[in-house]
Amino acid sequence: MRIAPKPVQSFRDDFTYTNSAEAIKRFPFPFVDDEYRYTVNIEAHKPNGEDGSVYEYFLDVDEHYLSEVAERAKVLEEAEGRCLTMPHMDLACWDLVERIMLSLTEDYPEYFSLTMDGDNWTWENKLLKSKDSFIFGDSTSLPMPPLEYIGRQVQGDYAVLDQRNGDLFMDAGIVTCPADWSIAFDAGMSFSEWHGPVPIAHNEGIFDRALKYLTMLQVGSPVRRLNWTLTINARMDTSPEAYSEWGHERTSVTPENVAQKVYLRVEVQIIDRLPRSNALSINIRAYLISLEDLVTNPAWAQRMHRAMKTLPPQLIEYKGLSRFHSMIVDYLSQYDSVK
Amino acid sequence: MSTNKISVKVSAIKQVSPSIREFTFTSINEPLSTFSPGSHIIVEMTNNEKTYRNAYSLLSDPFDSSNYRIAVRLQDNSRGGSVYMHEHVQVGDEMYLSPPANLFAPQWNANKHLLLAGGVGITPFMSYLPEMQRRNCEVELHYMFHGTQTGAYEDSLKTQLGKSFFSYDSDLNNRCDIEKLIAEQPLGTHIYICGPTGLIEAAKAAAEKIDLPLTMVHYEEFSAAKPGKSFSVELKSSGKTIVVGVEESLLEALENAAVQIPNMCRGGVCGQCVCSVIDGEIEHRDNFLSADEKTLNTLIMPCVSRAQTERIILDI
Amino acid sequence: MNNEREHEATNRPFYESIEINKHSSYQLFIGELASDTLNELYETCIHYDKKQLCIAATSPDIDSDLTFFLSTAPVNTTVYIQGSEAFIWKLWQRVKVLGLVDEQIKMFQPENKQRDLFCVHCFTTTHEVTQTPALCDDCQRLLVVTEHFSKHHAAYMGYQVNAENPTEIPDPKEFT
Repeated sequence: MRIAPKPVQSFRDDFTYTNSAEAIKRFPFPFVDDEYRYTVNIEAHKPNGEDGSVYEYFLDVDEHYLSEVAERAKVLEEAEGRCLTMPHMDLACWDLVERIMLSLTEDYPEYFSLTMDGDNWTWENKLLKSKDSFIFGDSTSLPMPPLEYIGRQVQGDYAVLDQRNGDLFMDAGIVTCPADWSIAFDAGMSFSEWHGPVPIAHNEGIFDRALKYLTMLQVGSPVRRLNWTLTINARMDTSPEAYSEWGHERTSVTPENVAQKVYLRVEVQIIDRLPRSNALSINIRAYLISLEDLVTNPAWAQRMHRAMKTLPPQLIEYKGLSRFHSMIVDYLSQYDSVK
Repeated sequence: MSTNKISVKVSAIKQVSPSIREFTFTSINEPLSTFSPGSHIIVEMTNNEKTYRNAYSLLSDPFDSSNYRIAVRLQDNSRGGSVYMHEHVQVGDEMYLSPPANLFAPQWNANKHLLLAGGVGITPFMSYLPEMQRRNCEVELHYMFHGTQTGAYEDSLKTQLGKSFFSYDSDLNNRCDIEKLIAEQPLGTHIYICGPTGLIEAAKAAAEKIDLPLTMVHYEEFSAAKPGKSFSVELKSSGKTIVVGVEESLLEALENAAVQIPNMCRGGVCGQCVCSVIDGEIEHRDNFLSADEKTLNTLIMPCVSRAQTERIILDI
Repeated sequence: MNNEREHEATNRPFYESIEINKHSSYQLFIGELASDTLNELYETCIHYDKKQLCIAATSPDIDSDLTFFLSTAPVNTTVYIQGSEAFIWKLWQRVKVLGLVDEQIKMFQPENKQRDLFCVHCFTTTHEVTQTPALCDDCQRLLVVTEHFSKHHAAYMGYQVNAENPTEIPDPKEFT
């Protein structure tokens, strides 16, 4: 079941973020096997509009909406280079504006409304108490670039990829809650280039297959996949840019506080073909749950123990878990019938 | 065709040249989606209880989603798709289309776009022009046709492009020197070709001759399945056997037997419909598999390829 | 973020051996410094009037030189670039903007092991870095020089090496 957006909680400083019982229940737990392996793991994103899960609608507006919007606004105010659009991506960004506005209006009519009179559009966001009129396709009619305008009103980062020569290029994006990657640095990179730092997967041809699949994706057939990592505290902005601020938190984990401090971060990535520009948009939506909350589901606790126990060393290192990985395995072992 | 096929009505038909017929489709239920320049749709044609599917480029302005327009050339040696379109389809008919898909998008970062169109190959370029003009691109269109058969849209293109439009009517012995045209282009010109195989090969050869990388040469070939001798196909998973008729492609035969295979171009180019072959010899007619893959006989592109032997077994 | 990241996961460019595009109508050779290799290659090009040699060290404004030479260049131009890695990719960026595609840009294996380092904290690029970790010229953070390379920045990504624990500073390692 979906809970309406609740008042703003924080993803930094005092970390007032909490998950309701319902949020825990619908959390997108990513581990399907007892042993974690890299796969392409792409599946069709076919929202059914009825099951209350995070996949119920094309985009998931949940109890954390106001908190995430506030956090994004803070990051954009304090940090440079988090929202970027190369000039040739203007059309793709307008494609994205349309896609987001139409789907939010259809799926959450109580929160959003859109009226279209030819190219004269009026968009109302009742959650943020805003109402704006603009000319669709005319970037001068918006108070800020279209990607930033709509990005400030959705949960999750966006990467907008230009498709050329059978490859995908990171030519636009708004990135305020990344799992350790920088759009300022990665701007303009091709698919395999921005995946450069990921260990293991290259040799297994995973990225080649994924690229072939994604370049053939058609309008109206979005797909999704999951990524996961572990974060210390309920921190959204774990960007390389801010590493000087959050890096030290990794040394603050002890066997006594591991359940409260360590959060499982699951990224639901929704990949969608944009009609006018033929670009691909990726919504990268981060869901956070503390280990303490996670273990209230015994099946998850056991599987999490096994997945963490069998994690290859390169992945532990790549995901930055070295300092606390064994503490996690120890803590979770109490929930596993097999130690 | 995926499950999101669109229901449309034929709202207008125009004979734009002796062998080219233009069709306008408007939506019946959901509004039509906008599309990107270079997109095509797949049109479903049902004749004598068999369903054929052919891909056609959209020639209309991508921003105007009130209708989709395609132009169909009457082909010799066709399975009947173009004949069906020319002789059976009437204004008011209801048809099914796939949503637009794009295998021929412009290279927007080019300094200049050189468009070479042969006959009905003019169609995707007509969907390029509105967006290219909106972006103030440098464009040049060279249109080659047989005046008595395939020349269409010449006047409107001349009006639209002025000095950037060049036409070559082979019936009047007016021909384009492709080698010279390509060699004299300035830095950063990307070359696009849509038309008969001969035109595409000529352009590629001209590029190779001057060490111009083929990543600057973009082409779309209108290849559709051609007829061939009948053969049977056994499906491993169900043990079912299907007979592929002379006029239908293997892909169409599978679809008619309710076996869905992913597909996009219907012309042996994009690789989407690839199937594994367990037994039998294949007559490869596609442009996707490598020479080695074709010799191994373990893969087939069912949209265009057929069987050499009377029977093949597919791993589906 | 890791203090001892392995060097296997990388997007570092790979430099192929240089082959002249014999039928290219315009051959432009660009070097950071004058060199025998570049001179020899320039001399072997048969068409005297359809080639040009450009040395950054002796040109007052390499950027406007390139713009000038390429403004009348034909579609089948080839450019050959020699120098440090950062120089090569800065020039790559420049000639791409002018219209060349990747296959028309041939790059020599970089002359030395020096790298440009992009500080992901303050977005400054520090030049001629020879070892990891290295100090950011602007914000003075000590940065790990990763193997994550950006062609557009012509630099490797650097992040603070001791953000987790200020006392953990790895021994310097020269690039191999």
